Amino acid sequence: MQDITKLTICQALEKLQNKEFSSTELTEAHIKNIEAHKNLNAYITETFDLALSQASKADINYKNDEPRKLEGIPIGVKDLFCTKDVRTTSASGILANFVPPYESTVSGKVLNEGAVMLGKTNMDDAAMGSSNLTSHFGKVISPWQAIDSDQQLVPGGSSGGSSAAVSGFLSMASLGSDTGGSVRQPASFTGTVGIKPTYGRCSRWGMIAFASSLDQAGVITRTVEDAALMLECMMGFDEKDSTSLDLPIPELRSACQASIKGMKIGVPNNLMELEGISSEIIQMWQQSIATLESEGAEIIDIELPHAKYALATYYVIAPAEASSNLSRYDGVKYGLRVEQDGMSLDEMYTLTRSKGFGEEVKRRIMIGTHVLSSAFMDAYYLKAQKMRRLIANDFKNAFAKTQVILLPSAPSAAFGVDEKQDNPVTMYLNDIFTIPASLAGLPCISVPSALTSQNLPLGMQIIGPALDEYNVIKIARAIERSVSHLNFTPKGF
Amino acid sequence: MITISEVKKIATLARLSFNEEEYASLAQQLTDIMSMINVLNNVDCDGVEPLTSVLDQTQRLRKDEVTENDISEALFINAPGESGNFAREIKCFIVPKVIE
Repeated sequence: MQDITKLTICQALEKLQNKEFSSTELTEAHIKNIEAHKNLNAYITETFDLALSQASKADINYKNDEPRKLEGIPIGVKDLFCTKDVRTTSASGILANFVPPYESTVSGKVLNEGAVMLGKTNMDDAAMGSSNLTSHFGKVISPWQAIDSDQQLVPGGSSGGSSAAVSGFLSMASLGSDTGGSVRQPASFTGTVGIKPTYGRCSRWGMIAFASSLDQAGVITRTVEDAALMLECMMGFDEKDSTSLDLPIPELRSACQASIKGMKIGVPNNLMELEGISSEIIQMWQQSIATLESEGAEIIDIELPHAKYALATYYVIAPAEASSNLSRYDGVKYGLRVEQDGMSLDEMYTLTRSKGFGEEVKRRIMIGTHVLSSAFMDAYYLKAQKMRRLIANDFKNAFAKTQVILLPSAPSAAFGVDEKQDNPVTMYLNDIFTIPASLAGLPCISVPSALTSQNLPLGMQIIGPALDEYNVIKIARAIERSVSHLNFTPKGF
Repeated sequence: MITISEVKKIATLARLSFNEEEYASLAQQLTDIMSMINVLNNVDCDGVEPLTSVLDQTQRLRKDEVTENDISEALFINAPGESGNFAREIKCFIVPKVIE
């Protein structure tokens, strides 16, 4: 019998509609996979009872011919989306027992379209990391391994539980969030599709904040069309988020059928010469350019002269915003509290925060506090905001002559969970290609585009101008079509 | 170069504390990170308007009206620590004494 967990969402919806199997069967099959691959540690909290009750409701809706857009599709939800009455931790010790009394807008929208929640996926502590090694609940192991190697690899981060779950068939899609690349880089590492829309398209209400001017919900799926469908269900105006865009939700799935003939695609050749990019990444990049050109697209040489300053800019702005956002964790109203007899309020704050936050989170709070301190505010924070303007302007100038921009998603394939990195800057370099678009708030996607000689997946990134998710999906689908001969299923899955 | 005493000062501001070994290693790590950040000094940004939001719109203000009825019961579920039960009972968050 066919393994129904291997279907795409679009295929599964059709078969559910035709009553070839029920949502309960589909959900049970995924639960079985999760049980069989506990070692991956993809989920922090499993919600199987809830999932089965949602699935049985979905089955009734199919029976009555009233299915919603995602009726009966089992998904994972990154553990920074607050889910009503279901523990939400942001993979942090400080929220390890937090049970939200409310539902985030994005998870609520998806569940209201009939999706079935299998559980809350693991992630880096407070979404800070590119490896999923920093989670309070333990690292996530990628379903992927290199040829002839038993080394365990990282699934990327911070949405590493989401990427591991989708690539290992432990969910059909998983919600993620992307501040500097946290959906795109894990998608690249695991042979999955990761999309983040324009800043403001998805409500941030109920998403545990990291860096508010950058945070945006995204989703990881196995195909571009599934990503388009999921995103359609996630976007939309929300009164509760003051940065939410009051615009109609674009229809995205038809982009998957559209021709790319005559489209203008920008390639920032100056970034190909950056240090530390593996030769296989360059090869993939050139292959994608050739493919798109052969399908009738016009390749335009563009420059993003300030992109090389994006990493430095990001590591001022994101930690600054994080240090401010995370000041709410003080042990007073919710979350962890560490207390001792006779201590002062300040001591309670300090003990609680020192115990509750992980090493990487504390490091970023320290950077943020430093760059916001009165003596350095102008030299660092204000300077970074000015640089952010120059980076955003680079994109504006580029989009005057091109419709999308083509970049790799990450500078290398997935690395080992045991690869020691003494200098945190080495880890930060993982996001060198994803950060520029984040700083400019632009829609972008990572699509699996190549396999290395070690049989590890690599992703290409497509960036569009603000609000143009449609063309981003169109180009991603063209690349996906061109690599349909490659197998992006990890061995043994 | 960020010294150990500067690290201690930042930690105090951030309400964090570390042991001596961690302070020393943080001094090195923050020095490395700040030197990566210092490439920003290579660019003249005079006259550039700082970008505080990528949105072209000003942030909306919502009407100041009650949208939720009394949900204090639900909110106190997460009251932390040993005093959590008492907090739920009296519907007040309990903290160490702040005035003499």
